[in-house]
Amino acid sequence: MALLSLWGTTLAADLSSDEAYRFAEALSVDNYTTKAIEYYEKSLKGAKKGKRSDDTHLALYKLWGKVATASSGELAAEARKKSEENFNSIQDSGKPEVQLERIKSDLATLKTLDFKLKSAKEEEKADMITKIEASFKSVAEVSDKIRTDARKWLDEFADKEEREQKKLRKEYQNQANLETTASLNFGEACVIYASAKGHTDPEVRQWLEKMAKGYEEFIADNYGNFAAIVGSIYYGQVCILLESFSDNWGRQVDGYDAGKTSFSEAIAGLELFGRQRNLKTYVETYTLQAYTKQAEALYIIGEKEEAIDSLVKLFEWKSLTSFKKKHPLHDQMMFALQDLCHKLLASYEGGNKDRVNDLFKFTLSGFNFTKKVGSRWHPNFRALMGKMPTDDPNVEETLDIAYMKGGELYTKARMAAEEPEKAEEFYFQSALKYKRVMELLATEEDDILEEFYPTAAYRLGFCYYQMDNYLLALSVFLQAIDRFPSTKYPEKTHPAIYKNILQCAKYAKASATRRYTLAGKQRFDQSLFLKALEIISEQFPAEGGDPDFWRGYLMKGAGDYEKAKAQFEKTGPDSKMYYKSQYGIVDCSFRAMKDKEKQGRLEGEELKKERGEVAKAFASVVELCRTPKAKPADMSDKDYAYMETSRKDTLTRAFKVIASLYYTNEEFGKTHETHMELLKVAENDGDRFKSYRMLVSCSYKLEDAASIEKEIKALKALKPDGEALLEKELSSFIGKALQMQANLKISKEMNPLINEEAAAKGGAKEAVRAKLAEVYIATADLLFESLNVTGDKDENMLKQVIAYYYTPEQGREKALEAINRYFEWYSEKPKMEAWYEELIGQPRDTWDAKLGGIRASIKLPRVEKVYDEFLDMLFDERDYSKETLADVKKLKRETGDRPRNYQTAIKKFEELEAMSKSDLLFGREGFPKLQAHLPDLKEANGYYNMRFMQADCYTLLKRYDDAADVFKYLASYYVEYPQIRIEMARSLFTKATPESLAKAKSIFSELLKVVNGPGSGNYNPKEYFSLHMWNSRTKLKLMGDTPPAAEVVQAWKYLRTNIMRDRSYFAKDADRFARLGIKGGDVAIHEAHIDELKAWVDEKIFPVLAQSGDPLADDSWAKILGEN
Amino acid sequence: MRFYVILALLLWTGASLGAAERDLIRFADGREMDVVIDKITATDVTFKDPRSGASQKRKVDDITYIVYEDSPPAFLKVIEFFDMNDGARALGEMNKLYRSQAKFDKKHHNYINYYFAYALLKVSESKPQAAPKAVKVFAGLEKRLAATRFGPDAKLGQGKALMISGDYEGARKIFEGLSRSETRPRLAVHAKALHARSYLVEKQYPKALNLCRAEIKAGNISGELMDVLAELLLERMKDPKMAYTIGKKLAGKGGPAAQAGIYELKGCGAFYSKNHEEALDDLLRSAYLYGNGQPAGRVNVHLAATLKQLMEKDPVRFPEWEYRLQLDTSIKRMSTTDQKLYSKILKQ
Repeated sequence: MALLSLWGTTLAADLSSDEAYRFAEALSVDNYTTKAIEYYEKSLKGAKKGKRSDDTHLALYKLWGKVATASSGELAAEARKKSEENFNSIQDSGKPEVQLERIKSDLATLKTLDFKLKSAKEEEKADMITKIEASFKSVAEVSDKIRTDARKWLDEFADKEEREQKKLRKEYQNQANLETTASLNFGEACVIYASAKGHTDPEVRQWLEKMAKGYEEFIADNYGNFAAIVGSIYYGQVCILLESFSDNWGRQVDGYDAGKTSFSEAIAGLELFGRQRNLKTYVETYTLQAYTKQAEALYIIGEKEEAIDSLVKLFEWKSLTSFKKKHPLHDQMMFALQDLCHKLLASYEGGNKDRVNDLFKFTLSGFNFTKKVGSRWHPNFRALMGKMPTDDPNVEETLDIAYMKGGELYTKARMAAEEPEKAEEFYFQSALKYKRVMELLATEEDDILEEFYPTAAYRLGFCYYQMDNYLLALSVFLQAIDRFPSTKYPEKTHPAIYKNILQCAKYAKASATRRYTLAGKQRFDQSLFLKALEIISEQFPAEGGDPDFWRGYLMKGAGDYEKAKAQFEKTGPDSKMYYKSQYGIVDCSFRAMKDKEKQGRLEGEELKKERGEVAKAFASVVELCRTPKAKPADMSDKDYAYMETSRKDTLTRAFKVIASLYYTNEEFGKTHETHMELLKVAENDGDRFKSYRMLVSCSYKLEDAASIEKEIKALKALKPDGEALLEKELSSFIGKALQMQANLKISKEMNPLINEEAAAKGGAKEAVRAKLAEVYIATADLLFESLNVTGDKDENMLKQVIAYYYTPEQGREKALEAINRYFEWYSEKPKMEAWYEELIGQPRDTWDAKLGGIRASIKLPRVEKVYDEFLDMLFDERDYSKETLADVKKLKRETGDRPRNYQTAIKKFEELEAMSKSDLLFGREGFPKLQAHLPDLKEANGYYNMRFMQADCYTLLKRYDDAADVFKYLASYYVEYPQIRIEMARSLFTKATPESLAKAKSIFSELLKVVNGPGSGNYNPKEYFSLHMWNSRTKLKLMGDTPPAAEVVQAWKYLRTNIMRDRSYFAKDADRFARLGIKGGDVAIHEAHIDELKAWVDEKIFPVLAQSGDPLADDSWAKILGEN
Repeated sequence: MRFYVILALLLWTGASLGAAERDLIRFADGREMDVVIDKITATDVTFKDPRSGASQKRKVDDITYIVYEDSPPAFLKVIEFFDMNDGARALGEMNKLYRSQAKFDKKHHNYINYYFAYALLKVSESKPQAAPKAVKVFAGLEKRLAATRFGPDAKLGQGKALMISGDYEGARKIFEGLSRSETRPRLAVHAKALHARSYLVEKQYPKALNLCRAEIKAGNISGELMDVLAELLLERMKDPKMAYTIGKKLAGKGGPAAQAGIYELKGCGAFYSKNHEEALDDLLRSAYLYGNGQPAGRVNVHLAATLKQLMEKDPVRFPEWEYRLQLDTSIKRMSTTDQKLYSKILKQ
């Protein structure tokens, strides 16, 4: 209950009852269930009993019901209780009309649960079935009672005299309605119940038999009425579900036959009623129900193909076009069609291939219809289209299918743009399909033509164009332009057709140009080109243009630059092609220069000078295009608009050429300036991106870090739109730009500082290190951001990032993030690890065989010896991770098998590499095989190094639990490192079961025997003290949460003795650290370790010690470390 | 029986003939009514309800459009374009009507002139380079329309066009004058909000804020003013705390449109102070209790962000089954600008 009271938190108590009611109503429409409950309940406060309060309670009943359905456990039970309370608060809640509302709500719940059940997990199913049972019983009991009461009243009415019957006419209608509605709801509920629990379930059968009997009576009572027909639909459904049963007269009935007959009768009866216009909507609704309910029943009993037949008949009954978007049955019809398609697809996937054409037919009809009428069901059919078995050889190629296949191949071709050969193949196949579409369209009516032709023609032409068949492409495009002239199909009335034909015009011009420029002059038909231009300019003036200009354009393409210039000069300032012509003049000089360069007639300084001259000429075009011209007196608005557009285009193009000329001349400053100018006239983010790309390149070449930073910021502000600027393209370049910025940082800041650090001494060195740390982190930030932005899995860069973050102490948190990213990328263990696990304990020969049998090629014994050592470093004779450290050392001595170590293996590999020159056969045959394994070896070595760094970062960040997890894992590899074993045992300590503690204790005891103490050559204070601490902790923990005081004191005395052996380590004495050889970067790890030990003693030892009366009772850290 | 059929037929014919002679009025609340116009002055419109024959007098301020039964058919199209906010197509049609107005009776001239200028203003809203022309046309019509029902509207239009073209002082003079209008209270409210907006557009935020405060103090709380305030505090000055304080202070004051704006201020403010439950309640009020039930723009963005936060923070009280659909719907409703804002505030 406490939980539910939270749901009803009212934040503002300022609304009137009316306002709260209105608010709740609006909220419940959009399914803000809890909020609606809150405000409905609020609206009840102080409200009088009446219709409003009844409506509110009914709404609350439904909403709480919804909460109960969606939740589970205590909350569900309480919500159900609240729901009931609200229902009982309705005045006359026992009235059948009110009860019917309840049935409606429960039926909706039942449907939701049945739907959820189909996709529920196994463990959720039992709970759902229980809920379904509860809802079903509620519907069944209530509807049965309403139905029986109403029937009783109707029977009594039939016995009354005519005069009395006249008086009760209105009530008669009401009771008849109640009986019908209750019967239908009961039927609905029974079928859902059968679907959820299975139609053969004994309890379900009982209900179904009751339903069958009820409907037999219902049909008999309403014989000849519309209600009887509706009853037949439900009766048919229950008959099929029962399969075999006894009727009201005790006769054994074959449910399957009886059901199908009942459905046929219902459909025939509905057809008769369909002649009455006022019943049209009802007839349509129930005919649809008859077919779908028949299908549903057949599907439940496993007659899946028959169920499909029933749905097919539904679409034979009436065409889809009768159910347009606004038709009241549109949704039901689309649902039925979708259901049919799903069933056909399931049948096909289940092995029934005969209906593949039906599958295509219905899915395509749904796809095309929903697209045409703009139905919200379209995405569902689009998704279905993606699942069609298009490769099935039995698919009959109708217009729809050829069009769809063509589209599919066309999309594949467009997607394969980066693989030209693949794309060309797809364009070819797509062209074949679209050609077939054009053939099939030859006999089609106008409306079909309008639907398919423009797209098919454009795509067919485009496929030809992509296959470099420009003549065929041109012919297809021109035919399309001729067939759908823009005068007859203007943009306003036929936007889709116009769009395709405009594309045809654009590509027709391009095809004509390409055929000229690429296919060679001899094969070029100039008259065809000009004719094409004429047709295009007639239909799409903006695409056609001025003949003088196009002649110049042709001459330019032919390489007659002087003639072309003269032709362009003919275009006066009042022509709409003026700007393009002016550009053409300078472009001729540019091309002439390029030709000379290609022929080797222009090079070196002379070439550079010429480029400068051409750039200047383009600059004059830029100046010309900067300011718009006033509209010439006799120019149309449309032509002027074209002139303005071409002015802007020319301005941009000229800028681009200037920039490229400067760039080729390696004048990056000027290129940068030009792109800054270009940026000002860029109209979309796509253009801006191109400029920024060049700006970044120039800034990089100029080594201008500040400028790059600014440009990256601007790049980040750009918005990809999926067309002019692709998100991937943008992010990929931002990534590159960040790398450039990092590279500049490395060359301009990091490298000088590294040199400075090497040269500096004492305090100055520390200052340089601090600066260097900042630069490391900043550089790593840039590179890491680059990885994040691009999403690329660049392993080398990530390692670089980790190294930069890991080097300075303050970067460890970020280093950890980067390391964890590495393990996200490479979650699998390295290959060498798998080999190790496979070969553990196997004879040594198998180790050699795994690497490819290298030993056979070795002739020199010293090489063989090193090779054996190499193998020893890769594989083990036993699993050392299960041995004690002492045993490891002992086994090493006895067997000569040393635990694997990839680092040492790499060193041995290097030795073998050097020896490969002396042992020739090995050098020629064995070593190359060995070399092939080097990347795997390095990977395995890197993997454990990375894990070690990860554990180290966790420790430094005091995330001991995480660290312990990694150390536990590392312990199986670093079998000879005590610290790793300590950490592993520590994780067992954290587990805190008696078994784990005992195991931890044995590890610590075993380690204590082999770990060196102060004064010894291999003394490692961190290992030594953490071992002592954890040993004591484990010992005490084994005695329970409050170990006896005497044991605590004893443990302390032991630990204290050890601490006293190296007190200055605990005082965090810098000199002592230096003497122990603890490097600057590792000091923090040691200090963290000391703090941890001290904190434990402060918490668990000192308080017990103080109470013990022992001579050491006044011990404190200050006293021990001599500070007091 | 036959008699009744003929009578019904006659009545039907009569009614349909009557319908053909009716003028059409659209009121400020969106209702439309077929009427027979008697008289139009600068302040009032007198008309007859043809069904009851009763005469009615309504203020010009309460009326959005009047279409005469003999208005050129293109004018009806223009109104549709205005409804669709398609200024360019409205201007295309009005341009033709404006040029050929001599063909029509004199009673049509005033509204043709006014709506021509108004269409230009609509175009200027998306293409500011058209604003100087709109200013010029409104100024040219000033004398001609001064004594008609379009006088104040034309002045307001001129002010708006001036604001778009960057003449903020000129615009403010006009808005100030109109905000004192007693005959056109609705227009005055509009002018007050525009007055404040002019400062906002000019980036004089403290002045815009002071003006809004003064209006609120004077009790002039309108939806439009709240809209200006919301944009000012949440987007320009980025002061959600103040938005919340003002919203809280004004809660319960003003009409439904003003309340929608007030709860928007309060809800967005609460969101930024991480009081997400209060934000949810306020934003829902803004959209569902005082709005049209379809959260849009800033309210929708903040509502989505609030839902996301609450679902992550407290999945027991804000479970997936209840709020996931709403969150997804809200996100779908967002324009690209809204989506950008959404991801930005989530990052914050």
